[in-house]
Amino acid sequence: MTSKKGFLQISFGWMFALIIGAFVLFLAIYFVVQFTGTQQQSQSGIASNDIGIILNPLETGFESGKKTTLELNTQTRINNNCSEEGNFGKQFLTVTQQSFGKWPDSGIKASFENKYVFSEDTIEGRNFILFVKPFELPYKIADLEYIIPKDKKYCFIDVDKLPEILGEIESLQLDNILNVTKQHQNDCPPNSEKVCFGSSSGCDISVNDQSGIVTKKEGSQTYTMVYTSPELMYAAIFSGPTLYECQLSRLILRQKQLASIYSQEALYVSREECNSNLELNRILSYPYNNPYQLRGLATLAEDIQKANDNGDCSLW
Amino acid sequence: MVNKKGQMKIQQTAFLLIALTLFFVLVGLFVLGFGLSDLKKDVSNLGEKNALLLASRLANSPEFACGNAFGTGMLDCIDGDKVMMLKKNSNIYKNFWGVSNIEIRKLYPDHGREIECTIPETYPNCNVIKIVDKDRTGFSDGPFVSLCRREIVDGEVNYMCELAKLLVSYELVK
Repeated sequence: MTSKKGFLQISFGWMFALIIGAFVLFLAIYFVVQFTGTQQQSQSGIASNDIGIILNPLETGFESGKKTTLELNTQTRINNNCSEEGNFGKQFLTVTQQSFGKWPDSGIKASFENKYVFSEDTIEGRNFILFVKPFELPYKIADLEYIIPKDKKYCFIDVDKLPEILGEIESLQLDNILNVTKQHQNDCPPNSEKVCFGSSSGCDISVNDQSGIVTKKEGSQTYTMVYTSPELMYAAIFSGPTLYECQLSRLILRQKQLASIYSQEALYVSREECNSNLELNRILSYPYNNPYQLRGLATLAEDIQKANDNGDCSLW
Repeated sequence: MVNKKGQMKIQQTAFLLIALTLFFVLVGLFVLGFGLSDLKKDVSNLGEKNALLLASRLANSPEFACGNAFGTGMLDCIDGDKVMMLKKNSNIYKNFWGVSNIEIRKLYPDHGREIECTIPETYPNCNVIKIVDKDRTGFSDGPFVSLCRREIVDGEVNYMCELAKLLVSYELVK
C-alpha cells in the first residue's frame, strides 16, 4: 500500500512544470504552424501578383499577337475569376503551389483592373503557355491574355476552313494545339479537348463561325458563347462560360470609358477645325446587358471605324 | 519548514517557466518582425517591377497610344490631346494601372521652368502632364516617347511631335 502511494506521488512542483511546459510547447507549435501558414499565404500573394505583372511586357503595339511560356519549379494552380463591379471591373488571380505533395487551403487573390486573362476557371501545371492578342471594337480596347497549361492538348478539327486562324496558330507556334482534318479525327490525342470548326460528332467544343457562336460541353450542360472577332473566339474556346461573359462585360466597360475620352478629344480637336464626325455617343448609349448585344455593337463599331477613316482628323 | 521549502521550489519553477515563455514570445516576435519586413520588401519589389514593366509598354496602351491618328502607325508615341482628356478623367483611372504616379515630361523643346498642362489654361504651352498623381514614394522611370498633338498652321492641320519621357512610379511600403 505504501509503495503504491509512492508510485503515484508526484510533487506539486513537477506537476506544475509539466502542465505549464505542455502549454508552452503547445503555444510554440501553434505559432510555428500559424507562421508557416502565413508564409505560404504571403508567397501565394506574391506569386499571384507576379503573374499579373509579368503579363505587362506582353502588351502589344502593332503586333497581331505575342507568345511566351511561364515555367515554374513546382506544380502550380492558377484560379482565374473576375468581377464586373467598379468602373472597369476586376481581374482576380490566385496562385497556389504544392508543398510536400499538399495543396494549401487557400491563397491570396491579386486583383488587377487593367488585365483580361482568359483561361479555364482553375488551371494546373508546371509550365504554361501565355499568348496575347489585341482586341479592337473599333479602336483598341485591351490586350486579351490567354493562359493554357502546356500539357493540356487541344485538337482543332477542320480549322483549315478558317485560314486566318490556322495561320495564326502556326505563326504563334502554339505547340499544344494540333490541327487535323475531319477524316483524321481519330489522330487526336486521347485526353485532348476536341474543338470542331464545322459539323462533326464527338466534339467537346464546337465553333460555328458563320453565326459567331462557340458551344461548349461541361458535364451534362451545354453553354453557348457569342463572339464577333477571332480574339473573342479564342477567349471562348480557352475559358469557362462564366469567366468569358464577365470579362466581356469588363471589356465593354473599358470600351465605353474610351468612347468617352475619344468623344471629349473629338470635341477638343474640332476647335482646331479638325472634324472627326464620329458618333461616339452611339457607343456610350448602346445598352449592353447580354453577350448577344455584342453583334449590334460590332456593326456600330464598323460604321464608326469608317467615319474615323474618312474624317478630317482620325482619332485612332 | 517543509511547506516553506516546497513554496520556494514552486516559485523557482514558476519564475523559470515565465522566463521560458517570455523567451519564446520574444523569439516569436523577432521572427515575425523579420518575416514582415521581408514581406514589405517583397511588396515594394513587386511594385517596382510592376512600374518598370508597365512603363515599358504603357505608351502603347489604348488610353495613351497615337495608333494611326498621326498619319502612319507609330510605336512609343503618345497622343497628347487624348492624354489631356484622360487627365480630365483621372479620377476614374486612379487605380487602373496599380501605380502611384504616371506623368509625361516634355524634354525638347525645353520650356525652362516646370509648367503643368491643364486645359484650357496652359496646354499645349507646358511641359508636365500629370495623369495619376498620388503620393510618390518609390522612384520613377520610364521610356523616351514622342508626344504628338494636332495644331492648325496657316489654316491646315499639322501634326506636332516633341520628345518626352513617360514616368511611372510606385508606392514604397515602409
